[in-house]
Parts: sequence; C-alpha cells; structure tokens
Amino acid sequence: MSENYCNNINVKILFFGAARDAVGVEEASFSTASPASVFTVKKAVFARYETLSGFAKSLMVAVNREYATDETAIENQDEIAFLPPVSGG
Amino acid sequence: MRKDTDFFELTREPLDVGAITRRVVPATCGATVVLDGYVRQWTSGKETLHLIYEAFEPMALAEMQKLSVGARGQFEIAHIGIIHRLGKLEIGETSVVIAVAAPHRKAAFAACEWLIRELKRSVPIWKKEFYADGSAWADGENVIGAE
Repeated sequence: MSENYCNNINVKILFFGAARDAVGVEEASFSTASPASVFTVKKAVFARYETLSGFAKSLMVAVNREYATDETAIENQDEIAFLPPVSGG
Repeated sequence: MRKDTDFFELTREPLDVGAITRRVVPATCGATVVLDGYVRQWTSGKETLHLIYEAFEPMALAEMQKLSVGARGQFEIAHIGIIHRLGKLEIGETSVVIAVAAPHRKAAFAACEWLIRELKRSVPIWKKEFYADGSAWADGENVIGAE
C-alpha cells in the first residue's frame, strides 16, 4: 500500500428500516480520513444521501453491533449501522 | 450471568406460545409469566392489514441477551426466554413471546414487564405497518416516514 493511503480507513455502512427505504440501499462503503469518529462518518453519509436528512435527530448508530455515540472512534473495516427508532414488540 | 436454559431467538416461523412457555418450567420455580404480543388490527381508529418485521439480527440477539443480564440484576427470577418473529405477520399472529420463570410470581410479572419495555426501546427490530391506503414504519406510538 502506498504512503498516500496510510491515513485512510474503509468502513461498511448498514441501513435498516425507514433509513434503508430513504437511501435505497442496504449497505455502502465509505473511505474516510483517520482518525475518524461516528460523528465524521455520519457527516459523510448524510452528505452522500440527502434523503437521510429527516433522520438526523432520530438515528441511532451501532459500531460493530454495539450502540455508539458521536464520539466513538472508528477503525479500519468497522461496520457502522444506521438504526432508525426501533419498534419491535 | 446467562443461564444455559435461557433462550433468545429470531424466527420467520409462527410462534407457538404454549410450547415456548414450557421451555422455561424448572423444578425450583412456581410461576412462569408469559407475554404474548400479537398484531393489532386497530390503532387509534386506523386499520392495519398486516405487518412486516425486520431486524439487525446479530445485534438484536446480543441486545436480548443483555436485557436478560439487566433483568437478573433487578428481579429474583430463574429463567428467561425471548423469541421475536420476523417477516410478514397477519392480524392476531404472535410477534413476540417473553417467558420468565421465577420461584414466586411477583418477580416474574415485574421482570416480564421490564423486559418488553426495554425490548421496545433498545432491540434493533423494526415494524412496517400496511394499511388500505399505504404503509409506514412505526416509531413506538408515533409513525414516521408515512408513504
């Protein structure tokens, strides 16, 4: 791998429920500069998918299947799930 | 904290409440409290035709197990089983079963109520309601993304 790519990380984004319907895909790949957090990944995802804007306040995020906050650090190959308000039961 | 007799499952098959309940009847217990959650036809005057449930399955199973740890920390209970159905469900079909066995009923009732409340709050499962005039993802008591 060349020097130019050393500071980039690749992550997988998953969309569920109403968020998946809004973006039209179940998953997407993103490349972002490191160090990255949930906040920076969210910014990139919202920029690519304008139809997600209605979910800005309600979406929860899980990193590698654990609920995360905006401050949670993101590593290369992390799986980041965008979760609309849950409604099981 | 998890007991071998506990179970946490997601399934696309119909749920048999009686059979699920009998999976949590240990000899040291005197009561099993079971929640049979099923598809409601009428909500605030609006008729539901059917539902589709989906889940982030591995995370949903992990969150259910976390709930069992939380329940054991608060209530004197012995065994917990939680099964949630996914896919298309018709009116009246069971969507979720929570069975809690305890030496005494009071703790089992309290734990069952706590478990369904927390499941609705934190387990990544979503419900899409289908009506005569469209469909919408449910958001607890509210409905978002109406089409």
